[in-house]
Amino acid sequence: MSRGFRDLHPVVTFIYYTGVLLLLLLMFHPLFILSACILLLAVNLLYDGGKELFRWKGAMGMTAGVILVVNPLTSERGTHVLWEGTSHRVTWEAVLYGGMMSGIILCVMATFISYQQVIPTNKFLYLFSRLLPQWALLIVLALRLVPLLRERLGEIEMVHRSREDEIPKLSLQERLRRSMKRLEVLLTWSLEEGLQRADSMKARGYGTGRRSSYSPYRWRPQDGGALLFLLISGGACFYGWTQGLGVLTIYPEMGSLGLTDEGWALLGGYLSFLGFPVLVELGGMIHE
Amino acid sequence: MNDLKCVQVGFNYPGTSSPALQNISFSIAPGEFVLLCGPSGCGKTTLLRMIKRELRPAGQMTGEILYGGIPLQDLPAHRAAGEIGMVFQHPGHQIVMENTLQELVFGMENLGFSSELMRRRAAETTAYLGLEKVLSRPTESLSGGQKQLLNLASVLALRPRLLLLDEPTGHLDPVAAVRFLHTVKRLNEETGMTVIFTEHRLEEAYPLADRVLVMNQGKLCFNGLPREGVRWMKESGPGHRDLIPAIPSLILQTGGSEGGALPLTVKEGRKWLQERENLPFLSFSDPPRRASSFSPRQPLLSLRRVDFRYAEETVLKQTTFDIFTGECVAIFGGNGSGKSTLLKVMAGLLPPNTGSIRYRGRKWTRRVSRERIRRIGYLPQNPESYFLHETVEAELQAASRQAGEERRERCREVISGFSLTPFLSRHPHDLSGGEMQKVALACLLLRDLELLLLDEPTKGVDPECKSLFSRLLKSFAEQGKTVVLTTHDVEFAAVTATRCSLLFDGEILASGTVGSFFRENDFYTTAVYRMTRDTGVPEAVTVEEAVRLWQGQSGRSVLS
Repeated sequence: MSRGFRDLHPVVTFIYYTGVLLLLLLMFHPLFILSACILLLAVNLLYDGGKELFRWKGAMGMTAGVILVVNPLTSERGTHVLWEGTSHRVTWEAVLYGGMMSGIILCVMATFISYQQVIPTNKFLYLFSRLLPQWALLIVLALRLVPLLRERLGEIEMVHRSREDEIPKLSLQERLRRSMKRLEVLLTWSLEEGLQRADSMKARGYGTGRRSSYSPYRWRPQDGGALLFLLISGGACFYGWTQGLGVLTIYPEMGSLGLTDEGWALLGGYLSFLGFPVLVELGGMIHE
Repeated sequence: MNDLKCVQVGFNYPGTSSPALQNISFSIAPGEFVLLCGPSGCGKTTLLRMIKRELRPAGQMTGEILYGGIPLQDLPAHRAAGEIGMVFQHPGHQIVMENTLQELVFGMENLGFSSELMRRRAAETTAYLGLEKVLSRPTESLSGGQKQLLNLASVLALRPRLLLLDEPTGHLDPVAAVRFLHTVKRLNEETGMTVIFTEHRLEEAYPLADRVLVMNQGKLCFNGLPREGVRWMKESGPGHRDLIPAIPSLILQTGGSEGGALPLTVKEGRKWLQERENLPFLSFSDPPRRASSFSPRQPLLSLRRVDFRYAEETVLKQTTFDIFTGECVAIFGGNGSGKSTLLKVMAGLLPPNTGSIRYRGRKWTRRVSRERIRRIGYLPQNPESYFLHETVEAELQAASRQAGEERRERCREVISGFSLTPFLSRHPHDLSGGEMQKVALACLLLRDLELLLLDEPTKGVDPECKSLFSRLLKSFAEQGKTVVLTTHDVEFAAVTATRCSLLFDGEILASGTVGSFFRENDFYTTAVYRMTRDTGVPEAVTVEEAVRLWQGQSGRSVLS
């Protein structure tokens, strides 16, 4: 079974996500941001039906809402006045700016949420194991230890609880001493086990020479095609940005919201870059 | 040409006066399947580590080890790492990576294999060991048996010529253990790979070996064929007699070994019995059952419809279980069937999600009272987590803290009983797995407990020590106290327990007295029962039972 976008080579997917983040920060125009929001929502829906996104709804709503409200309250810049009180005025510019900022925040969060589903830790580490093999291995080992140590500490605590009658009464000081003791036990135990793990690494020739790195991913023609597509559409967007397109000047005075012909063309490129996963999945469906 | 040759090998750990290995000489031909056995601390592991150059312990070595005619230390590093493979006892502690495939290629990466070669070897090895299905899973989610196969696969991918296995099945359930051993044997048969392995549960491993080496106190005392090994063990004294696997032990004890080949496997044992079938056996009589019917007295501990869930997984499902005073209950179950969780729930360390637990008829509340803790002792699966103090001696003293003079006397008794004297000043974590089990069990026995809950107490423990545990637990139960233990060791349970239960898929499935439990099982049963079942001879579960039954019926003369 093909998994479409997620099956592409990690290099391609990683370039996609870096590109998305870059473009989100570069293109500062309400139309761009709005369409990006919709597309990224679609990308999220594609992978898990938006479950993970839904889990983050609180945090996302909060941040976006706060920015949306705080910006008009703190900024009085701009010429198009929306409402004027005795000591404060709210301008169109400030409201729009806040809206765009919160839109970008939402988009960035949505990007990261789908990123986690498409590029899990091991894929990410694979990307960097080529550059820094020893460090990548170290990170893998360290990451694996964190849940292990936590679980073990829980177990030590439990077993020690079953022995508590051996000490007559537990004062605060005694209890503190006990927690330190637990950490100490955790440390000696984990060191002991670390030695065993080191033995098993050495037994399999760790340190005999330069390590090679196994790649479970092969570079296939469709990866090349996808990369080409991303480079062209991304490059076009970047070129457009250097020409001053896709960016709305807001302060001190809001520019025109409408787009020029070149602006529309840029939006097209922008959308095709952001919507790339959707395109891939749709293409896959048509092929089936 | 010899694959491996040890010439007068001796070894001294730094700071110890007695040598760990003394004057060991043997040679092993290519393709041999060699079992190395002996009591704990006899130097088996040290010897294996001497052969695996990367793991050679620091210390003073004398003599020489030759691999393929070359002294081991002159072997190029990548050859030493690749051609001599080693798998250790603990399945989980050897795993380095998070992902199964990454773990599999770890060794190959170390030796700088090309991606193409790694892919091919990985495919071949996984297909051979039947690991395809788990390849994309995280290593943490594998069962103990799968983990150990993965460790084997990762070593095999390097194409070793000599495979060293240090108690590889010590942590596996009986079914997984047999599967692992047979996989290794098949490798040996099909590829001619030389294998040297150590093992404590010899019932399954012993018949597979081509040759047996017995060590004791750092010396090699026997080197020869398995059948001769059994006879040698019988004659050389009580220290070695415990090593004899059940079936030959039974046959030697009933005196039927004169002439002819000594049976080692269940199949051979049955054939041996059939050859004597036409002899005038007395009619089959049921063994006298001791206290088989339980009077409807109050259980000491009773679980009623207990459910227990970890985050997403339901481990115990509506489990109902009664423990009576004076019992010694053994709980079986595959790796990951929830045995450990059940014990923790019974120890009151994990509150069940639903259901109730009563202790002496009083219902447990969620709050753990000191009184409850005082009465129940719990030995965790990893004895490392049990210890609180710097030295073994301090542990033992803490355990008998509230003791008067009489208890101190018992402390001394326990120390000598478990022969802990040499360890008293050592840190508990510096001991081997079996020694740690001993110390933890000693501490528990010093406390004044009513209920003892032991999670796999026989793991990594040698036969001699196992029979000591068995005696102690039985006498503990006879004092009107109660023991519940989980184990993978059917032979141990058969001699120790009064009742056995099987935990499967979160439910207690079968529960019965030792005799009836083992008589109803096909695989979770002892070698002796598998040998005597349906043969017309009085069926027996343990060696002692068989000897008693057969000899009680004018046995000796009939059988020999």
